[in-house]
Amino acid sequence: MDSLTTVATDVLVIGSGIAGCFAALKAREIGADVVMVEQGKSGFSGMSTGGTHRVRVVLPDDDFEEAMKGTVMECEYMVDQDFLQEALVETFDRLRDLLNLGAEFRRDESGNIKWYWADTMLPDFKQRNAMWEPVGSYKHILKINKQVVRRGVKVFDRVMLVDLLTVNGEVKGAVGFDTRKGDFYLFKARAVVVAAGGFSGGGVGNSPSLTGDGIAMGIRVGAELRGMEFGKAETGGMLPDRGAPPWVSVLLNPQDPEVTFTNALGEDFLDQYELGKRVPGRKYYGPPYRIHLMAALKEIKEGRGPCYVDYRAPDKAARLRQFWGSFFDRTLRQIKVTGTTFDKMKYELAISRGYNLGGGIRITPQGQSSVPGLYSAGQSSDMCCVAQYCIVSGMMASAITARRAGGNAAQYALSQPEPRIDKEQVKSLKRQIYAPLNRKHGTAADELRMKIIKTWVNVDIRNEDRLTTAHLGFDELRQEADNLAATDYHELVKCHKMSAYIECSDAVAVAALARRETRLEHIREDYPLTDNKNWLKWVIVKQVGGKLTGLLEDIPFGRWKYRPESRIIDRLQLAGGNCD
Amino acid sequence: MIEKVDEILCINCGLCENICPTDVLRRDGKKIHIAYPDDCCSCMECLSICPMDAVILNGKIPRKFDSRLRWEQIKEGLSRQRENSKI
Repeated sequence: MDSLTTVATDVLVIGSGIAGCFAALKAREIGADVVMVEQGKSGFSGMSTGGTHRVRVVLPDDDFEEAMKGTVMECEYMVDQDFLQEALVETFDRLRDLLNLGAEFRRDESGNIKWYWADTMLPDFKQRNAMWEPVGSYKHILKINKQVVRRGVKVFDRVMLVDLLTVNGEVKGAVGFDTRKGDFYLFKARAVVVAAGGFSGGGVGNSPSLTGDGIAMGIRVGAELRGMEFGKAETGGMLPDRGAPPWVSVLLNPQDPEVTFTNALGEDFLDQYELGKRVPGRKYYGPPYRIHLMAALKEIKEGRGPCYVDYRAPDKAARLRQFWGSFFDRTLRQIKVTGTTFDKMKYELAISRGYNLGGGIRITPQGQSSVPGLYSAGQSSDMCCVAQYCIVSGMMASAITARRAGGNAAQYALSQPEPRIDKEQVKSLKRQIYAPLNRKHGTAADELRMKIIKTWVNVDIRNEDRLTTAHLGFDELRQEADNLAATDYHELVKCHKMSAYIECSDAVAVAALARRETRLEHIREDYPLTDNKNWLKWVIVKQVGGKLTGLLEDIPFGRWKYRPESRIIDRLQLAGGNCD
Repeated sequence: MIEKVDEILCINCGLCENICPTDVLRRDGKKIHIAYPDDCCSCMECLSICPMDAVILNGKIPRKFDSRLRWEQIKEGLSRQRENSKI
């Protein structure tokens, strides 16, 4: 705890997932000195070892215009079209990068990449996808990580960075501690890339991972967040008696025609809606939030809740295995080891579906945040507002944003002088970081986590009252987080994770309160219409006077090609979409 | 959730402790012990990397020891074991 390790570098990359690696590689290519810091073990932690199973690719010969149009529609016009235009072209290059770095995709008999075609919102356009082989495995990221080390990036494992250092409003490094020995680390850098993963409401299973540590670091130095309202923490998956275990979502698809949605009376409530009907032969039902969750919300409102999603069907296990084969080894193993059986797969439908948060630190198409010297990529960033919904499955969007952030951070870094760190700032941050260890009587991190999850239930169904309750609740918990106590360094990690978790949760509540309409996964009970007349706006969340505030900003549609045709949309009545 | 590391099978190579993403396992003298069982995220990487099949999750041992398939893993485990015993 008393020892200090100081590391000086050009570019500091926080996080060693797919985004961290791509940012580090690009920055190194430009000639910058790069240090990559990982809180767990690089190659084995992060979202990229989890459920991702496909990347969307647009090949040079594909219909680019259709891909662009379909993607913008899928993002419900929220995405930064300047970014998307360039990003779609880049998908092919990033796929080649992934292959060169050693990642593997499913191939056909002749050894070429096997393409899977996904239906989209455009009736005549199908999107090209490549599947990882195997899925949900650390093997890809481990190989990419080895390349990162080979190319001269210094990697620090088991070091948790807690706060960014600022000099005259510019980010110039970060401080943290060794999660095992507790040594204090000071990283001086000319530019920082935050690629510390997303925020998924307490993470996978029991462990407190994906608590939005990177996003919280950004909040504290005054960075703007965007798109936080799109996507919610996965309360359904975390509460022991509700929702599907996280890995189930990888292999079970709510769009599968065999899956049924029932209310508390056992009725198939989707039958009332034109677009929700299960018609044999019909393949595309749209993303679940579009109709299913709206309908479920209506059922709950009218007293027929809770609603369930029922994955049970004869021979389901055999058919799933036939489709997935052996290639999602981890999920299959998890199912085997945990004793999950397919005949019990009926889960309460949580209106909050998002295990994949839409927002994060606001970045420009070049990967720069609103704070000089701070760059962001991957799930920590907003991916130019919800771009990960579409170009994606996270991985592709992470690779694209990271390469841009890494490159621009390196160029910025090389133009900057040696940073002069304020010693007083470091001292005070050090005191704050180790403070939970000095408290004998305080709240334990796990205890606080349960409280946060319980507060999250208010965000599950969103209306003014419930969101205000949640916002006030998170504010109270923030005070409680100042009184966290830790017995060892492992507990200290969890304490800082809980603080970050509260910051991000509050940012979601603030953004959700600000957006008074329904769009994407942001479903408001009191404003159930998608309002393209008044709400073609981004909600920006930032710290103003110590409090998180939601600000509105018009989306610059003037210079973009695609604009919504209809003005006000009621998802439940639509059979075409327009009810102006 | 991780249940135990079989003391008889474990050769104390430390591979599991090295890779655990949530930092659950620790090497304590000549033994691997589960320091923070509640934080296990059931990713099962320890189970995959263990050359001796000593890690037990949810009371189940999912596969049999097959030295032919995992020779590289065992070699690495044994070399690490030698290194560890020097210290």
